[in-house]
Amino acid sequence: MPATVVGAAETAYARHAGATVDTRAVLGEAASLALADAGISASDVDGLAVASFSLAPDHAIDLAWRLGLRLRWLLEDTNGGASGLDMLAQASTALAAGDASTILILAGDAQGAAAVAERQAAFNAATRDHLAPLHYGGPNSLFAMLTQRQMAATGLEHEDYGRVVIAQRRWAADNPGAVYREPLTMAQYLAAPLVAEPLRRYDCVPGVAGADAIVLRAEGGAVHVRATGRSFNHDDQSGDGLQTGLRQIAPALYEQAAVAPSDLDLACLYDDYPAIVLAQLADAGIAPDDDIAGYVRSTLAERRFALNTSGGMLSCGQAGAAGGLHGLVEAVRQLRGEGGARQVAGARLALVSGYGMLLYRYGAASAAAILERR
Amino acid sequence: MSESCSLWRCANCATSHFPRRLICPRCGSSEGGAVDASAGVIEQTTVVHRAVGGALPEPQLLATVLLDAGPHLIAGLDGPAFPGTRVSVRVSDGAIRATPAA
Repeated sequence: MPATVVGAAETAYARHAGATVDTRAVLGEAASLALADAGISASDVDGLAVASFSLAPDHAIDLAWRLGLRLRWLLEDTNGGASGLDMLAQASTALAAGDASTILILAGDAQGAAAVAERQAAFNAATRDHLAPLHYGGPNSLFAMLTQRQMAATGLEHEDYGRVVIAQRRWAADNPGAVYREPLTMAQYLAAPLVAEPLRRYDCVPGVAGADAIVLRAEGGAVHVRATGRSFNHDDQSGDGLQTGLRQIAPALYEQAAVAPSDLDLACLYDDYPAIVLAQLADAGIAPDDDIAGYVRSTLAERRFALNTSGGMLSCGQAGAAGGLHGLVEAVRQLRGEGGARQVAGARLALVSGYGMLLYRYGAASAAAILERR
Repeated sequence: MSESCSLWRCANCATSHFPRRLICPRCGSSEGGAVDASAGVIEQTTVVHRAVGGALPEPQLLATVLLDAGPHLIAGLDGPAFPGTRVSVRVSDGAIRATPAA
């Protein structure tokens, strides 16, 4: 797959800034930063992909106009947390087909809490018709019940979810871009206010305003896209949500990249909730299905595997659709050796995943990629 | 105002689905109709204390219910109950409600 990352950028993420920052403005800022990082100008770009929950009434072509991009390839992706990796896959295919030579991938949102609540209440027809009338409070309640199912199925305990959150917060301490960097203790984690039982404050991703961007070219970048995969509506919502679409993607992903899970130097797995991090660790073959709790206690808690080294969205915040690119930007930084104090020594191979689009009981879209520094 | 909660039942293979589908995910038939989801068993419950943007006026008790007819649904729960408790299911003012069996 001839695709390389030639530019990557993330705007500053801002908590409680939705009323003062505009979605178009953060997308434009991310675009400028990524083009500068790639050392190219807007006139070099001939492909654009964008994901945002709050671009309306505009579409991708409006953004092309506002950015001054004259294009022969254009995509607007609506797969939420999976959109970043989905766009990477589609852009890689477009480059291989010669449909474009330089593709800018953008994702971001700047929405206040009221707008986010409104969006969540009408996320799809099933939510609008069957969940919003229950005052379900957004996805936290759905993932609260999913977490209970995971605890019953795996033996994971409250403290294990805390270990995930605390380990990510330790990474965030060394990420100047993380919104929450102060150390978190288990006592603080367990004493935080309940949001939806058993989830407490630190289990729920905090909303922020911001955007991320990637520039992709067939060649020229140090970071190569070795494999991509996607899964949509993997089980028709007929299961328990404890396996994500990544379970179906992973085998072909490793085969395509000719690597094994044990070869990975780091992973950036979508982390809207700790339960989804843990589900994906097993789906990706990184943690054993029959002892996920043991893996958390011996490996993750001790940071023996480099997972979500930016601190993840749980520490950096979720800037709407930018969450789907956040892990990709972090992986690129690590593979380029630009991780600063949180740099994973000798990082060469990374797995990145996205997850999202709650249909009714859990998310139905997954996308993933393996990146390699060459 | 209270009414029955409708599932969509495939006329060909007799499986029930919620929410309703356009085509039966099991057999592919588009023929079917509404049947009542009258009862089921609680699988999980949660109390929602906070919504995005702040605290709720009052905590909301929710349950995942496995219906006798097959599918799962999420309902507002009328009073605390443990997983395994049988419930009856109705729709009240547009909201699916589950009531623990007496």
